[in-house]
Amino acid sequence: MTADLATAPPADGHLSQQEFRQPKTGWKTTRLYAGLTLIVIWGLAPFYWMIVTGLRDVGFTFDTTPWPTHVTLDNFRTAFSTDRGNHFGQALVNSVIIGVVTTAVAMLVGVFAAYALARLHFPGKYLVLGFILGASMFPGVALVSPLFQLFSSINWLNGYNYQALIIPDISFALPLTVYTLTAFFAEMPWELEESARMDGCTPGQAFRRIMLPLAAPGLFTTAILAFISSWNEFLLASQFASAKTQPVTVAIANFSGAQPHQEPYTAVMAAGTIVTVPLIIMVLFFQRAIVSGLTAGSVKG
Amino acid sequence: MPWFTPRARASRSHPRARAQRLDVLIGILGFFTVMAFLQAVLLEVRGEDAVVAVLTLVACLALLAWAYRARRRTGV
Repeated sequence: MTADLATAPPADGHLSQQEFRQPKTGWKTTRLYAGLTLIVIWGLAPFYWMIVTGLRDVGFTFDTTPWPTHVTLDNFRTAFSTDRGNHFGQALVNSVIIGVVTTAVAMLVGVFAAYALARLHFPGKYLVLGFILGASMFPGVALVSPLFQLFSSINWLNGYNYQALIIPDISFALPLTVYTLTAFFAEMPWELEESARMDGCTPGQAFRRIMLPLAAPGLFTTAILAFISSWNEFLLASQFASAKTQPVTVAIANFSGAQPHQEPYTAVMAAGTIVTVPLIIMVLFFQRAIVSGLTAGSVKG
Repeated sequence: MPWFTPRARASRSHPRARAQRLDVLIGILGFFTVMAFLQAVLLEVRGEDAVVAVLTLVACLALLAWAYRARRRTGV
């Protein structure tokens, strides 16, 4: 009887949880994997071609063989070499400094702003959200000229003035941070905070001890997005960076070849590969923190 | 085409949801209106040609006024 009940189809026609989790078979599976393969190839093809070209000998730069041929590591050495006036190593350090400071400040301000926007009820809450969204829509190129004049007049465009790159980067990272975290905080169960308050926590303690640890996946995800946006920023950095503060994006664009007017494509590709690696390491490092459903079932016992 | 049926339209337009959407729209338009205002004032003070800036400001203000009226009509 038990076996009959177990095998009988449900009366309401819906799939049970076990049936739902069973892998699909046949044509549907084929289509699913074909689609996934296409997306993966589409996403990884440029990166693959960058690695292949970066590993190729300079004499075979425009070789279109789809796999690595004439493999050499000279391009990676050339990328780090300072013989031709390239300072890629210093630029990597600069990018890390700019990215870390931008992310830290944007997160620090963004967490409080997002929490207030998600949790507090005040008139014009969505107006503020719209204002932040409007700020993120503002074209960066429109800021280049006025900021250049401003930074030039306060002598920020020479020497080790990282703030000339960090402050504009924060202005772009902050709307992203606030908007992403607002959506994340809004989805968190209110009952957790209420329970903490009933147990004697002040609003600040409830935020610090209960909500912030539970929001860790959202915080990490947002921090990674902010860091990537700062790491990849080129437009403002190309105008405001001095020779000592230029980030990798600008350093790669300024790579000079062995001959005048010769673009060192293979060295650029090798440098591009090196630049992408920290991002991959960071995502892999924080992968365990980026998990969804941490709060699932935390309210109902 | 259920998207265009009156019922579907009605279900999409809950007054509170509509008010929230319009608040966000007013915020976005407000930001660009402030930017257009600053641009227009700056150009006028400098004595430069400000016709396009002022027309942009007028367009932003008109859109903002329309959004504000629509927001008030929601009654929330």
